[in-house]
Amino acid sequence: MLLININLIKKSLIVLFSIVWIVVVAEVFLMVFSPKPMLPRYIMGTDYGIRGNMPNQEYTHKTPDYTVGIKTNSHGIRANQEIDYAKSATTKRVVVLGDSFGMGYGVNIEDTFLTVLENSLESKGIDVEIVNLSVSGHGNAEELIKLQNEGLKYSPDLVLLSWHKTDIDDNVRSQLFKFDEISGQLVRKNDQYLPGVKLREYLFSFTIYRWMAGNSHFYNWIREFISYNTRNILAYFRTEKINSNKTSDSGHENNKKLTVSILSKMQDLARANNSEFLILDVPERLSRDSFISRFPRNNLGKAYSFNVVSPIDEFYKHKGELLYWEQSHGHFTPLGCQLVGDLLASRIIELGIFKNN
Amino acid sequence: MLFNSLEFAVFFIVVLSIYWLLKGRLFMQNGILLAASYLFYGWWDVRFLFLIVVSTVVDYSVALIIDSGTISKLQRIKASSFLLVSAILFVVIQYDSLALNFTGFMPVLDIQWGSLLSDSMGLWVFSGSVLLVLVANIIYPYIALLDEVRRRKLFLLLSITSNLTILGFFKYFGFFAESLTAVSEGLFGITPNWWTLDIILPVGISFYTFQTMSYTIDVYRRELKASHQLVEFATYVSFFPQLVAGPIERGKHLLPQFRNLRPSLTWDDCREGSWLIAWGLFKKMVIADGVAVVVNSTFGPYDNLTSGGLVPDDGLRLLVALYAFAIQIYCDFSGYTDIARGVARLMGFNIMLNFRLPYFATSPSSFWQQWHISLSTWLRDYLYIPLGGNRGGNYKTYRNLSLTMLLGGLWHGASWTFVIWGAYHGFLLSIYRALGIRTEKGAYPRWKLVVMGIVMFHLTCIGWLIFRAQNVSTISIFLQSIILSPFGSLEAWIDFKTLIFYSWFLIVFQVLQGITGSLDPMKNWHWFIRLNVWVYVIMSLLVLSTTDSKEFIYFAF
Repeated sequence: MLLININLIKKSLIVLFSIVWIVVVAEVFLMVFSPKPMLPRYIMGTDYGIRGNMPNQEYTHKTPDYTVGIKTNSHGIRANQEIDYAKSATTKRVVVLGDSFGMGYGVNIEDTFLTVLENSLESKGIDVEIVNLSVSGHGNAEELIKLQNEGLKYSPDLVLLSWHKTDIDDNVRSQLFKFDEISGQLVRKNDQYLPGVKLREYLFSFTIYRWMAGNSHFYNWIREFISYNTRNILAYFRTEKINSNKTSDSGHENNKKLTVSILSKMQDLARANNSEFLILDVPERLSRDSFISRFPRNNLGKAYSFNVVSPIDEFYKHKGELLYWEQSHGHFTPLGCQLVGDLLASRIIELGIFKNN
Repeated sequence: MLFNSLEFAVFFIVVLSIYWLLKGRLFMQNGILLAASYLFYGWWDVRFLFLIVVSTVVDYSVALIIDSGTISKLQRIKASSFLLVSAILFVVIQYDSLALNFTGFMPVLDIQWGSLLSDSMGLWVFSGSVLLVLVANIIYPYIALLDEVRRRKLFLLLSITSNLTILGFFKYFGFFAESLTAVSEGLFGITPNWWTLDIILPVGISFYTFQTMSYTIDVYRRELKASHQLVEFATYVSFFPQLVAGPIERGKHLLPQFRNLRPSLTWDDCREGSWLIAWGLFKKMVIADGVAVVVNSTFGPYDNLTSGGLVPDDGLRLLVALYAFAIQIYCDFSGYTDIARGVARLMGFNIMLNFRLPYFATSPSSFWQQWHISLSTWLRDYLYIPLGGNRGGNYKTYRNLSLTMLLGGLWHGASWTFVIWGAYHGFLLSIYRALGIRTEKGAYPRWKLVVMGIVMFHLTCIGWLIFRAQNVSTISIFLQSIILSPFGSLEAWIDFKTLIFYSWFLIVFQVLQGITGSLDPMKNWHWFIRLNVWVYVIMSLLVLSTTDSKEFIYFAF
């Protein structure tokens, strides 16, 4: 009997050791043969029902391409300094809404396109202050709520939206807005959209988890693997649903219409508060030599009534150069940021945005 | 259905579960294997299943007549019904609307049943089958009137002719028509107006026709008793693990395994079977598909030489691409065989070994004893030896070697480059023989064997160049550049790094296989080392393999 128990314990220990060892070997394997981007997102829920950056955090993003430090202030804004709601009379304020592109993933704060924009405008004698309210993963629906609840408190002279192709799907998925069945107007649907935030907040309260998120290739690979396949499965069922209703084209049109309506509402809100509204259309990179815009357009090929800045022409002048990181999640490189920031500055001046305020 | 696809994984798990649930019921187990094999093949193109059925019915009946001179009434009814039902299914399935749609994870098989005799092809197939059944049953009583020797020869000829007709029509018709046109234009200035056909090559046709031919020849030679069970024989012909890319099994080896009750699955079966599957997938999805990038980037521009684009011409880069192709084709083909053997092993079958460290060969004859063993032994037993083998003096031996390898080259594909490749290997075999280079163990000291191995590997690579090249100019430019300007560019270095990145583990593992003299050295390793090897292989499959399933090169042969 005793012999059996010893054997059982021995076998259990071997199994336990093997599991731990497999994780260790997998970690080393990934580190050597296929390093993974480690981009932990320090996200929490906000009082107004959407995701926000955790305040006062300092962490690192590591990928095979780069290592970048991220720091948030007490408002969860990626910035090295605090920004008061009140602004000085001589300063022009730009409130930025966006996702990870807007937040400046992939580059240090001094290289983000917003810093380039700020410096460029300063060099032209415009005293400007950037308030970057971007949160990785946000779609336009969340950005509108962010503007309503937080952005307007900063009394912006310009609301700059960093628009990315994922926004169309994000706006549908979040179900924060819908069209009213009777009036056809855009109305609020759900009070909150906090996917996985509770779990994330809980996990990030553990030091070991925070360490893994920022340092373990194996953890990040598993997380990507699960997230990629979950997205695929969900996308499959969504496609099936659309196909069974035979409304795939009209479904796509409805999604586009929802995005345009949210953007219009954002523009109206900005203008009602004496602010201009400008959209940066982040192009999709097809290759080093090829880029495409996914911004919704009307039948005439126009971007509706929006002021849209697209850096595609600038990117084509630099085709072949490294404008997006290629081994991580495809955010802008410092060169990409430089081109975007300079273009935004010249377009803002060209449109005379700050003269009217 | 590809081994390296999700649908195969699902298919195999389902088949394996049902198969072992039926343990102890031989007929049912063979039946489920037959159904699974037809589904496996039909997944690719259901039309060509009919060819397998024709080959099965003809060889089943012919072998019985060769063996015992008779075929019972019940056997005739079974064979006739099998053919006619297949012909009806061929006709009633409307192929234009048969599609496999892959949306997300779920394959959707959309079959719409058409009307009987809906098109001319269906009419030909159905009326041809009825005619074949009628003629066979009408002339059957007269077969008994033939004397035994004549009857046996006649039916062997019938089997060989029917198999070669199927193979020749689907694989070589276009090739010979084009070649005859070229000869006619060159010699007489006449362009003949041939009846040309745009024929799809049915996957695996070269493998299963050779397999069924070997069966009837073995029965004729009285080395094997003919199979009396149609389901057993049909499963042998279409056994899905080795149906589309071999190994070309012999009836002597595989048929008895279908005849006897499957023993219980042992721990060794599970261990070896799962290892062979993982190792085969690793070879295919990680190594072969990984180094394919190097091969395609260098050979690709050469494939369209006539378009006049720039081609890489630094000798070192071309040499690296050649090494990469040697690795790619080995891993692609032997990977398939490993998976086939592993899959069969998990069902209690033992499929023959097809590769035994071929790049460690020290001479052309040892290379062919280690590369695609099932084909080379087939050619030896059914072609080289019947031609006279090495009996009859040097001249006849060289002739027999050259002829065998020439046809072996042509087996690989309907193209002159394959014929030249075969001729090249025939030439190597003859030269080594003429020089008196021996192949038996202990003939040379170890250092000399290493040198001979390196020389043979490079001779093999020249063969692969002929094999891979789409035209003769490519061969010439490659050889000139490698020999006359063996200098490297940055691209050569990058390609070399890629090659080593993907293939280092294979090289190390094969060296260990060579040193230990065992193809399964892991069996004797400590469990902790085995665990690490497993983790490396599985992680490579999950992380380094390409996401899309790429076809195996030998599917084209």
